[in-house]
Amino acid sequence: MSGFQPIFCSMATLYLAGGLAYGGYLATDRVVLLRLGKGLWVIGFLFHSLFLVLSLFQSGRLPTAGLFEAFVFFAWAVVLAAYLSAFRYRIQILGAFILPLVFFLILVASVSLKQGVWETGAFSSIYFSLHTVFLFLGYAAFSLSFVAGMMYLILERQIKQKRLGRLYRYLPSLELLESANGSFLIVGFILYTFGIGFGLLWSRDALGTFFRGDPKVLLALFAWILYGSLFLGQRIGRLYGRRVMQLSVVYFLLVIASFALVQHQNVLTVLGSS
Amino acid sequence: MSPMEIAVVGLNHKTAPVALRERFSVSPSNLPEALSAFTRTTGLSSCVILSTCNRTELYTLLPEVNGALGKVRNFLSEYHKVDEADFRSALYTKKGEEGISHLFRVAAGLDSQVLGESEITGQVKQAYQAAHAVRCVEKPLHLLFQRSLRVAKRVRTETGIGRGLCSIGSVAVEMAEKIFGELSRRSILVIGAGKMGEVTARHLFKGGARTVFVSNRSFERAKVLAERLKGKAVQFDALPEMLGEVDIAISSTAAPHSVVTKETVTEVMKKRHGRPLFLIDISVPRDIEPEVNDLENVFLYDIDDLEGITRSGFEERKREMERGLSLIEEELVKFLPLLKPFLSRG
Repeated sequence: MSGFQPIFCSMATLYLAGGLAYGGYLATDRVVLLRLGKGLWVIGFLFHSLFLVLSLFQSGRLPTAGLFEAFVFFAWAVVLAAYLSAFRYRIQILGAFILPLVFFLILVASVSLKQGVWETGAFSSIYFSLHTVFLFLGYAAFSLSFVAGMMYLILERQIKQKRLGRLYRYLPSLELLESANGSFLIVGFILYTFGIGFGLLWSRDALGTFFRGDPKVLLALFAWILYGSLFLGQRIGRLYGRRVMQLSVVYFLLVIASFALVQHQNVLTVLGSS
Repeated sequence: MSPMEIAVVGLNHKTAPVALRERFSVSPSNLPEALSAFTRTTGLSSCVILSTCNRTELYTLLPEVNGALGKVRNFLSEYHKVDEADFRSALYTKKGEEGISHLFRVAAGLDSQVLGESEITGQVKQAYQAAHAVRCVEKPLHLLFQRSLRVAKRVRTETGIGRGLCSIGSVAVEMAEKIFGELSRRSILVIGAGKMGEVTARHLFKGGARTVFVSNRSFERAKVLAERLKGKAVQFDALPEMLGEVDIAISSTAAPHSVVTKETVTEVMKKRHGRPLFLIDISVPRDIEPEVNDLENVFLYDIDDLEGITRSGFEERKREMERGLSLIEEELVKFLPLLKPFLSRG
């Protein structure tokens, strides 16, 4: 990110400050802090987008090569998806959950900055670019289903145990959270399926085979099967309520952990062979 | 002309029992006539009458020296046909800064029987508009009432005074909304024909619920209650089927044993395909087995749970009251210099 460090640092600071403002709002009820959180979120997103555009122009390819770029792009997709969902669901305190998650992704990106990028030449392929974009958008939708799932589990626990904690009054209804979670899962699964489809096409063109047994491909299929089973379970009415929410939280954590692991491995392999 | 001052004369739930308060009640349709009687008999030209079930208060402008308080008391006695001796001890008079601060507190719900209730702000607005319509409001009272409505809004938005839930009915509505969101498509089953069940069902109606079924061992009593609630009576034997249909069930029977068991609800939930069920048990001994709450997507609240939430609601409002009062202090300091020039003009 040579030359763009101030933009990157400003973006990270804005997200952190936004998250703190949301936290302050939940702790004190001061509406001004909610407005501040929203404002910082918007400005952070503008800085984030600017950083990606500049990186794109500098490298001449989609900035998703290596752990650093992958996580920065992923974080951007999460913020974008959260914005879009805010129009539909109007969850006032979404930022209180999203901003810490985004900041965490950026933190992971920062600590892996030294690992650099791997250049396979794959980025010149349109299939590969589409594959990455769709996959990350899918991950972004899954992260929102994770957030909705967390909110649902917190609220459901408070209602069941009759201990209405501080978060209780800020959370929307269980029905809305369940419906939001369902929509994020569907959208995420569709995007992810497209992502895998484009990946297979790229693999056929570049490597002459649809399937190669490297950990990244296996991870993608692993995540697809996990979310596919969840999607199917919901569609046929066998999975609902708390169970779906628990699974969407656990699956997301599993997928992110294995994603980080595989990407880490991948960068090491590429660096080792060069 | 001598300077004027704002004064409030009245009685409320803290100073007078309902038997006395109701004798001073003025309905909205009678307000123009009462205001005109006030100006005619007292010779004063400004008055706003605030009459609710908890208070009757007259806000007026009096000369600072040799005020006409006696005339106001006489008006109350003559207009309402109550001997002055019968209400003298219940009557309070607050003048100047104290009177202004009083209206700010009243409009913000800080002087209400149910602390922080919001209905009073609308009632203050209506009282002011009614007086304004018959040209009974001079500039100082205009300023006072407009400011008091703004202060009420500020107190409501900047403190949590209206937040805590203070009645079993409001807790039921709040919990139902937290589970189902909008209540407009929701149906209710009232089990038993008790008063508490009816009151809770009415709250849920007010909250938006549309369909109601009543089930009672005596079908005749179920029909009577269903008629009152504009709902439908169902046979008591059909309880398990009805639990499969409705979203919310309120139980308040006098049965000495459980009417709804965990086994029944387990079976019911199999047919609901994940649709949540909210059960409210307001009877003692309890009608619904407490273990029902362990079932997924079933939310059971008994009378202790509901009362526990109303208690913490009251406590929360009391805590917020302090913040509301300091906001009022702050507003008072800003408002007094604005009002002063209009009072000295007389």
